[in-house]
Amino acid sequence: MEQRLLWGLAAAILAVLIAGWGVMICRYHKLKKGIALMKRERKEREQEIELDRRKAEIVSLQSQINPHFLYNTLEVIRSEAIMNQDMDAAEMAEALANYFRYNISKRKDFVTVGEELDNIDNYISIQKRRFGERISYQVVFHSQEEEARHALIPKLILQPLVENSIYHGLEKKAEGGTVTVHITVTSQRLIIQVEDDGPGMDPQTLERVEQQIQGIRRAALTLEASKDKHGGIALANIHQRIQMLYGREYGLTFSATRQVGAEAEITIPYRTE
Amino acid sequence: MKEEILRMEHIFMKRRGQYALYDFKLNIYQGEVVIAFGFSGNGLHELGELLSGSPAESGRLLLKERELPIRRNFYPEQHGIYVVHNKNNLVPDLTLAENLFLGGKPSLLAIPVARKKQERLAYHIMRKFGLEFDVRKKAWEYDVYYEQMLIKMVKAYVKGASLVVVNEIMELPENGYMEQFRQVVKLLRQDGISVLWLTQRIEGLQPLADRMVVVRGGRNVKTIYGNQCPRELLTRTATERSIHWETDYPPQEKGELVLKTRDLSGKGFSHLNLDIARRQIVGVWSDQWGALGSLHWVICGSDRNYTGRMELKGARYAPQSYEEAVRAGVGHIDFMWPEKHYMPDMSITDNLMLSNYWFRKHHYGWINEKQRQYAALKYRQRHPDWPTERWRQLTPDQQRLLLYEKALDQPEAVCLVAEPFSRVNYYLAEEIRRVFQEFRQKEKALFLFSMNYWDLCSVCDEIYLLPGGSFTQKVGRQEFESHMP
Repeated sequence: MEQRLLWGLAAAILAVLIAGWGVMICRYHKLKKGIALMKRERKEREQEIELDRRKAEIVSLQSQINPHFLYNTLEVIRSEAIMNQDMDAAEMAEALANYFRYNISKRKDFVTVGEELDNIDNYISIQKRRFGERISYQVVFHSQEEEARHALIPKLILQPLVENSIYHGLEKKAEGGTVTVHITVTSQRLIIQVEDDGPGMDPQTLERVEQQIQGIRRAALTLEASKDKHGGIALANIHQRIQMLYGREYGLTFSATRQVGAEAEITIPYRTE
Repeated sequence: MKEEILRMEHIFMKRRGQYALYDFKLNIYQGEVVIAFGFSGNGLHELGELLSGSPAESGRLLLKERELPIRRNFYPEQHGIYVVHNKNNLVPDLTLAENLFLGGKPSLLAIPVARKKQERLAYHIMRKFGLEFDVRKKAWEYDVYYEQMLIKMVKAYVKGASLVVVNEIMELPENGYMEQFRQVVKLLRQDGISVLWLTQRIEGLQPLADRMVVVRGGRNVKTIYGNQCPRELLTRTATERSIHWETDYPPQEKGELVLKTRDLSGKGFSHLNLDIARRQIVGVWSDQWGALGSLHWVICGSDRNYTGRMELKGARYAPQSYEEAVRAGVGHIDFMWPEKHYMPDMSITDNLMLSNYWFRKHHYGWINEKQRQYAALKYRQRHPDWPTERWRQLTPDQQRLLLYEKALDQPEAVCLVAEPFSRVNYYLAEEIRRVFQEFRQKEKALFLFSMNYWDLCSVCDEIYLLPGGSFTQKVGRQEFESHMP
């Protein structure tokens, strides 16, 4: 009797062990599948990003055809303007040449905040010819200016924000307005905020832009979406570039209020030259 | 280079199944005073809760670059966050000095605290902050609201906090106290302690701020650097609509006398001679809620233990029950407990049709369908953008306004309102003042009960003062400031 009980107990233990083994194998396979799925998704995403990058490169190359010809022509226009005593036109041609030189010829991935701000100055001086006194622009440093100016940032992440503020904000406001760039340096981060006092956005448009930033709408990265009228493509692009370079802790946030304005905030790690 | 004391990134926090904080972000630098401003229902309260240690769904909360466990409760004081709000009172029977050092590190081998040394230290600390408080007085001897709040802010300094969160300040400190608050905040800032002040009323606080953030819909929607920002812009950002401000409504001619009391005395109040006419807004102030509550129940017919005489529209008025009072023409809204005036799961129209018999558990009667359609139509005309289905879908501000509008549409000649401005932001206060003018236009009288004298001053034609419960005098509009209790 006792022997039977012992055998029964042993069989039960064995059954439990086998069941446990089975569960473990199942879980292992599930995990393996999950990892494979994750890898596949990541690969697909990388491919998509690569595709987008190539498309962007094509667009960029199309606009890069013989930049020297462009610079030389602009220089000729400037000289002609100076000879004709038209200093406004000369300044505009110079600003445009500098703007293109920074955007097209400078092959660096990272630039200093100072360089990026100089490029914005060029851009603003061109836009001022169009909008006159309707737009004003200011930069406010909330920590030491020198530290902020030497911080490294990915190229062309600030100018598109200022451009957005002008095109989607101030352009629509008859009385004009101000674009303000606030820059703060902490021991770990560089925080840049671009705000405007334009007409802001209605909640539906804001939601769409936020979805594009968060990548919920993948369409944001296609060329088709570049026709978007609310600047979501530029914001999404900047956000994804920052996250690819620095990780998910960093990026761009955006908020807007009707009749008050909009603000975009970029947070990246603080690094210097 | 600045040091970030607090950093909140992509915080999602749910309350009652809804997102109270949605993708919320905030950062505070060392020694900075940040005012977070927003109206009720926009997540400010939840932000205070989160910093008091309540869990959130997701996001990152970094204190001095160290990540705090956001998904489970944490003890904020361990991490250097000290939350000051009107719930964490001082221990009433301990002295100010004992309260200041209560909860500090225990002395070696649990040697009893040297009382004299403690008092001397407390004295110096209080003087450092410019506060002339007697450190040997018991905590209960200090004013619960402002004085104890100041002591708690000093206690944050004693506890070595890096961030002081001032939460749930519903009423702005009066002028004298405001100076003291400014002084304390200034000294905290000098010592490198950051302050986050959560408020619904920003007037008076603005000069304190290094930065202001506006919270709307659970998000940080705007950052304003410095402390200069027009009130109109702040309100528009916080509500996403523009508001017409009319601060002073012209006084109107009194109508016929509606409610009159002679030598009315009850539990907690005595010898009240009251005259309320149509088109009049009359307030009654007391420093004891018991007196106000008792008077309120006597006029509403719920308390029959009183002496004296009451008259309503020229006839003797001695209601035996609440229903009788309503039938006679006395309406009532209690904002100390507004939930009893509505049924959250019923439709808005049905709630508007509900009678004021909120004491009765079962409401019998027939609802006239035409009246119901009329109520619905009127509601849609008045508020085309508001929800149209369940009462629950309305925000607390909308619910409050609707309760007033409901009272406005009902036939009562006089409406009693308990604490009309409690938990009210200034946008809503303005809306309420507008509704009050409609009461006047409809030839109705309003009788407001409040312990906040300044709230009453902003709307009333006359205020009856009941300090300690006994009626002393009636004050007219011209004398409000000179008779401040």
